[in-house]
Amino acid sequence: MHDAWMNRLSEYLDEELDPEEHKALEEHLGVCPECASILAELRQVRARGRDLEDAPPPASLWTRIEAGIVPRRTIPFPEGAIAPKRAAESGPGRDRRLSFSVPQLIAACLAVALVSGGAVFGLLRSSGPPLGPLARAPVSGVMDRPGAPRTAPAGEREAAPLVPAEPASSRAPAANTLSESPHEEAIAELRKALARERDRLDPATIRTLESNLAIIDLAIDQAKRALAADPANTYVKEHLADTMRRKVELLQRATMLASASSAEGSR
Amino acid sequence: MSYSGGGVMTPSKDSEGTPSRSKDREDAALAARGDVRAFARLYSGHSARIFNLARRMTTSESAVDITQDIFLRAWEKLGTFRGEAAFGTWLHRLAVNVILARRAALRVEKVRFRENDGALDSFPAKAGSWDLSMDFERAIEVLPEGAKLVFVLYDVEGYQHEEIAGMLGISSGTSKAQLHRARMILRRHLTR
Ligand SMILES: [Zn+2]
Repeated sequence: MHDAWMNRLSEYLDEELDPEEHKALEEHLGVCPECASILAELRQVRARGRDLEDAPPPASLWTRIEAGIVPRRTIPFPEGAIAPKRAAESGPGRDRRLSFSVPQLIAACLAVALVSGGAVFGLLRSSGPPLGPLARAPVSGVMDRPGAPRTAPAGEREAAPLVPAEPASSRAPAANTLSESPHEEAIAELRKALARERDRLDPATIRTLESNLAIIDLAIDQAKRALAADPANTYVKEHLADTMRRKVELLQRATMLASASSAEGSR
Repeated sequence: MSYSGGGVMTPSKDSEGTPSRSKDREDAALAARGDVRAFARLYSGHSARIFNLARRMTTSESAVDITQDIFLRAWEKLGTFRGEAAFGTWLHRLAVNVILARRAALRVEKVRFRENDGALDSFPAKAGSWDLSMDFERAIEVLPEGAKLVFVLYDVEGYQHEEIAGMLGISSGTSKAQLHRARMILRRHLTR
């Protein structure tokens, strides 16, 4: 029962026909009740499509997304957490903003880790050191480092470091008195172990873990830059060592979690 | 899956159209600089629409994962949002791209643009417990793939045939034909 016009009814409805066709179809509608009735139904279908109700996404979706967010080089900063005494410590000739912001930056990184990584930290916290009140400070505002690119993906950061690569401790012992290499070795070993086990962790946990590692890496990166600019800054040195230690701990605990999961057989 | 009720991050449809473009633009700029809270506000204003787009273009089961991908991609690409278009438009277009790429990657189902009008033969007769809109949603879900995509993009989302043709790699004529086909099938489910 198809006449030629029936296939053009949607185009007619959407005013997609050229004027001659439009007029001809209009005339046809006057003499073809079937097309007229179908057109009325198509009009209703179109209206229903436009008015469809949106179902709300699951409430947990934002938590999952937040856990997967890779922090930018420029990260949210705890408001009011800048300790004035740090400013006094920054000596002449030093990049003032950088020198006293790095410690807070590290704290901010860990704050973000705590906030966004609730899942992993919640699971793993039992054996970890508690984070101080600063780490729980509300996160807001933006801190910019002068001269730093506005944003840079983690990959770029790795690929093009703005500071010299860490010295191999045996060849350049004087440049860095931190016991950084042992940390690096531990990190590499744990990374390998985790890579073998990571299938046993559920994807949300892996994302949270990766997100936290990225945050810690950012803190490490920032501390290294600060140290390159000011090798004598013991405060930054301590924070670098501490942050490296946190990374080792996080990896250790994640590896333990993965092993435990495999022992249980499911997670 | 079930749709658990909206929390703070899942606005009702009413509030969805209201976030002002300038507020969105502000939040997009903040988020581009790393402000996760600003990004959460953008999510709050736009997630329902994106989630339902994903749900209708794929399946309810995969919509959550895809929506997550879309917002993570948006976070990564926010630096490319220049603010000439509305943020919602930019995000929506990005979402369509992610959804289409995901469909292709998973080869969930080949997009079929050939005649397949028997697709609704197995469609159950009226299920009394469903309200009309759910019945209609279900009818959309089981449309032939090509017809479904075009119907969702044109009638539900408001894209033009030329845009849809570009997204799907088909001609405008095919897009029009698929739209008509979808509507002709759906008209049988208007009152059930
Ligand atoms: Zn006719």
